[in-house]
Amino acid sequence: MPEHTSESFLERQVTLLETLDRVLNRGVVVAGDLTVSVADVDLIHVGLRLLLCSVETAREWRVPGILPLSHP
Amino acid sequence: MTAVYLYGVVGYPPPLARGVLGLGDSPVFLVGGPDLAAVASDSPLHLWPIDEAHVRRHEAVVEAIMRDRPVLPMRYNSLLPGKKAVTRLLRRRSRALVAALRRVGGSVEMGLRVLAPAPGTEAVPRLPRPLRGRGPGTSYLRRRMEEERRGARERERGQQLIEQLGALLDPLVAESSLRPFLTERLTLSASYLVAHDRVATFRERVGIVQRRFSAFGFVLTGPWPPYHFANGSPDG
Repeated sequence: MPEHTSESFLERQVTLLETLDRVLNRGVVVAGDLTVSVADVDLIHVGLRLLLCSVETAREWRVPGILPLSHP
Repeated sequence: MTAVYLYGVVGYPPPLARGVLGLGDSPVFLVGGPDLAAVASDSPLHLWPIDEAHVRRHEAVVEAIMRDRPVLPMRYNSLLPGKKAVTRLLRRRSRALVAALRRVGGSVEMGLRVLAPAPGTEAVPRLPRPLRGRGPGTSYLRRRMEEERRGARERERGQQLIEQLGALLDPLVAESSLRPFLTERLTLSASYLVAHDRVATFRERVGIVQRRFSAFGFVLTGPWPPYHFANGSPDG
């Protein structure tokens, strides 16, 4: 996987989880109109579990400098 | 029936950069009130799927807007039945939205998650008095006590970490939203509102704490649109 080094794959995974956490659970809400909430709690929970896995994998693979992860 | 999908709210009336495409590749446009505008695109009246491609597109639109002006990001799948409904919404919530825009202007959001060391990676604290006996009950009890001692020690260490982060970051950031000990392993989940010109210093200071607590995992992300600071008060 030449274009997918462990670091870029993990960064992508973590960035996606962080994006999901924000885009689905935060931000301005159009209350009382057509906005439909999306099972906030479960998504956060799943996201955090996956995030833990990502960071664990990063450590096992000795990915240099988990900090700072750049955001594309 | 068509609807309007909202990505964010900006101050009115600077024109929008051309060529930004929203969900379904629909062109993004501004729907204006007297002093505010919503960043929007036409959309079918249905919820968009929650998957990587669609969520990333929502985020990409917000980030494209954020490059040249403050923006209040909307939550995913914010749909209104038409442009008139958008104008009504902006008018109705004008005061709060203008105040929130002022609050986030010139700043970005930075995200930080701190993970406690995985079980087994740290030395097990010794019990003050060895438990006697070799039966399965004794070894179970010993294991449980060791786990509890380790948990208590990690929590104490995590508390120290959070205090040191606060001492270094609080004077630097405009606002913060902290969620400590959300799960057993997640020592801290935090978002900070940081002025553009302080982001580099912010990273350096987080790095200082990371070096002091090298057994913990640090995940620092950003800059993000100010998702945690888009409403009237910091979201918990």
